[in-house]
Amino acid sequence: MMISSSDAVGVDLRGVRKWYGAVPAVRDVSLAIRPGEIVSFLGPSGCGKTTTLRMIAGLEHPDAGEIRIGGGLVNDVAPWKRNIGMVFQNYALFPHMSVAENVAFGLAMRREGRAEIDAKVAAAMAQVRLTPLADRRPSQLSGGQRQRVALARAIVTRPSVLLLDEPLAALDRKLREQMQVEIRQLQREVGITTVFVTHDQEEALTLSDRVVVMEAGRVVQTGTPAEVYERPRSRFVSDFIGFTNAVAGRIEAVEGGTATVTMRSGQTIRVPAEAGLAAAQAVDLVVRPEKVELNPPAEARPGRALVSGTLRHSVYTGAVTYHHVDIGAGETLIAMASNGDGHGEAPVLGSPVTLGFRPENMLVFASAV
Amino acid sequence: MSTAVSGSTDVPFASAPPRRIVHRRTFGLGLLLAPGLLILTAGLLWPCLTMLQVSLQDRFPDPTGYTLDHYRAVLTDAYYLRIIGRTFLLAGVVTLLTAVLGFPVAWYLARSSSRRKHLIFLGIIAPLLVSIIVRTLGWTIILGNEGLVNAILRGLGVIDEPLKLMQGFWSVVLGMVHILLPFMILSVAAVVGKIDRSCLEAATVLGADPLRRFLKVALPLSVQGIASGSVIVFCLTVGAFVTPVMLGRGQVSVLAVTIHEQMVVLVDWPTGAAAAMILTSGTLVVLAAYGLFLRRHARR
Repeated sequence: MMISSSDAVGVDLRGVRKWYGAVPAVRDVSLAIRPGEIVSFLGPSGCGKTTTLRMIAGLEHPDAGEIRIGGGLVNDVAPWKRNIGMVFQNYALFPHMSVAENVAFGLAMRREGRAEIDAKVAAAMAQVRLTPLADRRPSQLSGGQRQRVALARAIVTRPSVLLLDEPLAALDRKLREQMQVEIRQLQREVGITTVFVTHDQEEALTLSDRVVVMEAGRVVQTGTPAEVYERPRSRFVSDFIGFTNAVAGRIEAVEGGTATVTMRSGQTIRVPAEAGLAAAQAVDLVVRPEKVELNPPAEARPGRALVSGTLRHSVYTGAVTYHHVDIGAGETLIAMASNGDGHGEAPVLGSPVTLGFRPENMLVFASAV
Repeated sequence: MSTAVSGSTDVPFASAPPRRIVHRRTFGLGLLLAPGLLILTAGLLWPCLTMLQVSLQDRFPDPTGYTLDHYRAVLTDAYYLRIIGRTFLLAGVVTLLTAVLGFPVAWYLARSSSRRKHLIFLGIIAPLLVSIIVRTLGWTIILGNEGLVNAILRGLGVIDEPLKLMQGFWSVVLGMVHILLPFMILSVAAVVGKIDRSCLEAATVLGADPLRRFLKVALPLSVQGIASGSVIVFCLTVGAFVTPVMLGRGQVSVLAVTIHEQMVVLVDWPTGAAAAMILTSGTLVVLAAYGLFLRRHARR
């Protein structure tokens, strides 16, 4: 028997707000989570992501707005009646119960029969490969095992929504990557609508169908991992997701969908003009390091934006090397080079180099100041 | 110990420290423990053994032999048995009441983030600074024939004659609960404060309403605190002297008072000692049974 949910439901948030005293924690979050989808709330601490998750669980009451699960308004439904599965950051296993008793707790609360509970617990434990540990206490388990108990306990009741609060933050890197794969597989098997909270952009990109980026209590961008990474809508999103690689500039002219921008160093590039940009505007230019090529060969140069500079240092990280290039006026652009087969010798530090990238990969944001 | 004097890569103290240092450490530890152990031995073990010896002697002073007669006398005497029963009943009732009354206060004290909790903490600690005699006298002022309760009831015309509030079992219970409540609250609060909030939230999300969350999660996780508080309260009640005398007005005989009478008033040391041994071993038996029950309960 597999624990699975064929009738996944959506979660809708409309104008949800929450204050702690005079401090707004969540201001006006509206979001439609589709049935069966896995969505991550990504943002720095204090952005309201955990509070939003807790409001879906019913552990916090929204001060304004509507929360619907499967179409039904749940604002005033007690949390123990919402049929939700939740994995807490520290797992929150019951220390006075065995692994099997932990997993059985939600079923016992639903007053299911002994035989039924036993069968479902056995199935859930098999699903997360915990069967041999059924009689252990949580204190006798490793971090990864506790994580799996928490997952089994959360899904065994066939909840309508699965909520994960920083589920992997307490694990070391290797285990975290392994658990990311396991959670993703389990979520596919069970087909349950899943929301998880994280401040780790890599985790959000790896694990989600859609990423909801939050800042200061608001949703600043929602999209697929590729969308929020490739087309961040603001400087904040581009900084939070991925490597920051930005220089300052000023728009000289906008004509025919192309903006001419002068960087502080005096070099000029032409990039596609986003809506809302006008001449004389101060802007930030952001480009992902892996989109920038160091000393592109001559045949690759047509159609590329080119910037010249001096190689300051090269950071070797194994699979790739980051080349930091001084482009003048104290500004640096970073180019990432793969260390795969056939890459040429890295230029000598201090030598003049040329950086090339497709203009459409340069993101232009109005300066904050 | 490192023999590689010249080896620059050798890390000293990487494994066990040199043996001499270990010896010095155990010696230092022994020195620290000695005063406490000495007081425990001199103040507890030695008098207990003496008491055991006296209880087995046929007479005191100037014993001529050993006998179990005093134990038989105490355990077959209906008067004594009633007192023993009353003493343990009193201790049981007081323990139960302090646990029931103390738990919510301890929970609030340990888990609230309110600023008022410092005031409540002060209110719990403050009575401990006042002598038991003074606090018990306070109750006689409230409960006495000319006391507060009777004065109010008479003033309201509810009663004509003063109620005899001062001589019953329950007035002793009231006084004992009042005196011992802080011990229970502080014991429970120490454990309750460590319960992980997310454990309670996990129970809620898993479908436990507040009552079942309390019974299935909060209470089992508090058991250690309730147990240690109960041990303290039970032991202090079983051996209580001042409060039963003052609030019981001689009507509520408990074992500690009877032992005192036996030894000091009747000068029958062996019988008094036998009663004291029965009190002590009875307490140990009750505590052991209680401990076993709790351990099994906590396992489930």
